[in-house]
Amino acid sequence: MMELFTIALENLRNRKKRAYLTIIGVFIGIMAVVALVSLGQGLQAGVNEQFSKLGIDKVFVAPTTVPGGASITEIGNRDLNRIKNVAGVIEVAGYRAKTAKIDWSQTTVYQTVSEIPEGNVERALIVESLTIEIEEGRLLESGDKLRVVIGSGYTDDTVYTDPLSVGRTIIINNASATIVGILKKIGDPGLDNGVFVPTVLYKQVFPAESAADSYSTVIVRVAKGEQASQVSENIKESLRRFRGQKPGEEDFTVQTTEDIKESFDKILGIIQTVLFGIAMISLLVGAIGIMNTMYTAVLERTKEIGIMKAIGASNEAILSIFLIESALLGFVGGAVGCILGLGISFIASIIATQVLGTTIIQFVLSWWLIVGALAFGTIIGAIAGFFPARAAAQQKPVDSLRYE
Amino acid sequence: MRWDYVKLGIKNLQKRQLRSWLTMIGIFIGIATVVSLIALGQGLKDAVSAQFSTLGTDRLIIQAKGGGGFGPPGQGAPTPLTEKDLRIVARSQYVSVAAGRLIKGVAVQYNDKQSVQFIVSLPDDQAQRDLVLSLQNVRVDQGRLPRREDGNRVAIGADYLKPDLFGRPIIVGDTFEVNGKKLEVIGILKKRGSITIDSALVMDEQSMRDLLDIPSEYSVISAQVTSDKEINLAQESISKNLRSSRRVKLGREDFSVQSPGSLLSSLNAIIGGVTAVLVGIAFISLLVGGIGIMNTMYTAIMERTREIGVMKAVGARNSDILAIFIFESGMLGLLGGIIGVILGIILSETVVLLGSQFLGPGILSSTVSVQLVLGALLFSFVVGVLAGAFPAYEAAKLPPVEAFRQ
Repeated sequence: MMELFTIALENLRNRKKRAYLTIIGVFIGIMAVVALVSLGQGLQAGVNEQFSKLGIDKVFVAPTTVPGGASITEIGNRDLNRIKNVAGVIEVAGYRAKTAKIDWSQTTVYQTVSEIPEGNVERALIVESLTIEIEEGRLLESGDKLRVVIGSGYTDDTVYTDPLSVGRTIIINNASATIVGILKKIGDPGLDNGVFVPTVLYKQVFPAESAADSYSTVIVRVAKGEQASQVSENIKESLRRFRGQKPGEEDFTVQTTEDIKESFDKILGIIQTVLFGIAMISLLVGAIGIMNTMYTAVLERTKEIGIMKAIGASNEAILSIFLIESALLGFVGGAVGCILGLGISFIASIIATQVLGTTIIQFVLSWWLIVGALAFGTIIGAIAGFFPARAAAQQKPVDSLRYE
Repeated sequence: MRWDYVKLGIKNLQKRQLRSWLTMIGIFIGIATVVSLIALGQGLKDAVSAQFSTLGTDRLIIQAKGGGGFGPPGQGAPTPLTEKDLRIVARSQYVSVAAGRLIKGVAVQYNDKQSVQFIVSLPDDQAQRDLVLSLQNVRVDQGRLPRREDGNRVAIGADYLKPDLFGRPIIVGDTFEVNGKKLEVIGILKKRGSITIDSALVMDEQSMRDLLDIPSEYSVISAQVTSDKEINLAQESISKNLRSSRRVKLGREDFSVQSPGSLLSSLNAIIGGVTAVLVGIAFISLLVGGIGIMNTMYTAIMERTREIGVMKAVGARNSDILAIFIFESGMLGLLGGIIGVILGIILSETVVLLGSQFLGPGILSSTVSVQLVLGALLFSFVVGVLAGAFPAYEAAKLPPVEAFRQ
């Protein structure tokens, strides 16, 4: 066996240029696939991290929206109190956000204003589910009135050309508010470019909406040891009865963190599959290159095959020599492609972190991707080499010797 | 002489049919992928442009800023447009007609089921009415559109004919409930492939204001400009008038005046970006195919070293040898390109067919332009020539004596 391996290696060395070109053909494909899979994993890891910040102990209740975003029915304090009494629910907070005019330094922009509630429990729950963290200054506290916390987009020129800092005053729908804190970059433009105000200021900014008793989302924390999916069912049933609706006709939706993550994963999966599929095409072309190289090799070495057979080489031995040769081409292509592919994905994750300022694309080094790429390269090489190798093995020694 | 190169090239390729085929497969897989992706991307762009062409290049769209982003236009804006704004726009210079529209979401109850849908208003004034209808490209399939005297009678989009929404289809003469009031269906619109029309309820403007208790707000105002050459002048004039009536300074407008063209170009940029990423990845396979050609040509030269020696001995110049091999590799590329273009077109049509089967008609479409076909052929030929250049150069350099000795 070792001997066959040595012969195969020797043969590749004899035709170095061709072997290199064939390997290039394979490693480009492997590189593309490995880079895309690795980036996909990195994105998945980034998304998973975001969701783990959100926490699996939450349930989100929101009014049904038309395709587009406008909600018709309202979820207000009566519903909120109803949800509080559902089994398994420990904390409940209503979240409201709306677009307002924000003035600073001769420029007007329209951005989302989110209410951060007065109560400590509610505030903690909202802050946790918005996944906001403070970068500079402080978060809002009980007793804050005309104070505001701003997203990271205000510190560079994303929102205003003139950056804001802690202590400055901005005007939100004609109400002045002093900045007490700046948030860490999240990667969601809606939040990064948004501002966060205490209830008192929210009421001043949106007098009509505050009176309307309507939340865009009600956030529920599930008691320890309770299943979020079970609590979600309980809430759905309770609200349905409260609002007098039949199953399947609810004008509200109840989702757990897992539910939201699932729909995210589905989209991510589709994107990954499409990119992966297109990258696989180059691997197919690379495999055809291996097949071509091997057919040429068989043709060139017709006489050699004849001699080997004449001195007693079995068909299996000839088949093995050529199969090992093509598998080697695939293996080396896989190895080089794997290294380069991981390199690309590493650089891409660094660039993404530098440019976007978020860790939404992380670099993930998974052993199964490396092993998979190597095995895949080798198998592709062996498959592509099978027909040429069989053609070589089945040659009649007499014909082979006669070949010029 | 040139023709001889071509004949020689074809003959040489025929001699090694298996290898030539494998090399061409390498090229045409790449070309087919690139061609089908570009065709689908272009098809999508065309479909979007077609949607926008009904908006016209001589019309402007005025919206209040700060709407919810994803909701219907104007939804949630802190300072919505009003009837006064409509009058200001209509009186602006270079504007012939202006019409306002209300677009709202409502809960529709029918057959004991409830669903949230769009309701849009239709003005009663004939000129305004014509503008709105032509902007939305609305055509009536059955019955008629509501007028002022129709009150709570509405026309509905084609999607309501499907039973999946309410368990059974809604037809002309049926009634359903919105906000506790009964609405009667007097017309059904033709299917347009756009959700804002196909699932919409169309109601007379004043009746809709009464139904939903909306005194003066408009979601969006459209203006017909006297001529498309004056679109920029009209835009300025409307902006100026609205600024002074709404008392906002230049640069701090709480409204936007846009031409459909600017909306279209931003959409096209998104489609173009997605297509570019996909085509970029597909190009990798074309690169691999090019390397395959290079490999085949190196092999061919090695096999024909002696032949090259003979040709040189009988007087062939270096440039002749170079031309022969470059033609040969260019031919491999071109033939691969031809097959690739054909397969690419078939592939994109198949995707469109599958798309209409599973996603519904009109979502995917493919456009194969002459430029695309010619470009792909030219590109595959160039790939062949470039991949063959190095091997051909080496072949041309071979000293005749050396070539004979092998």
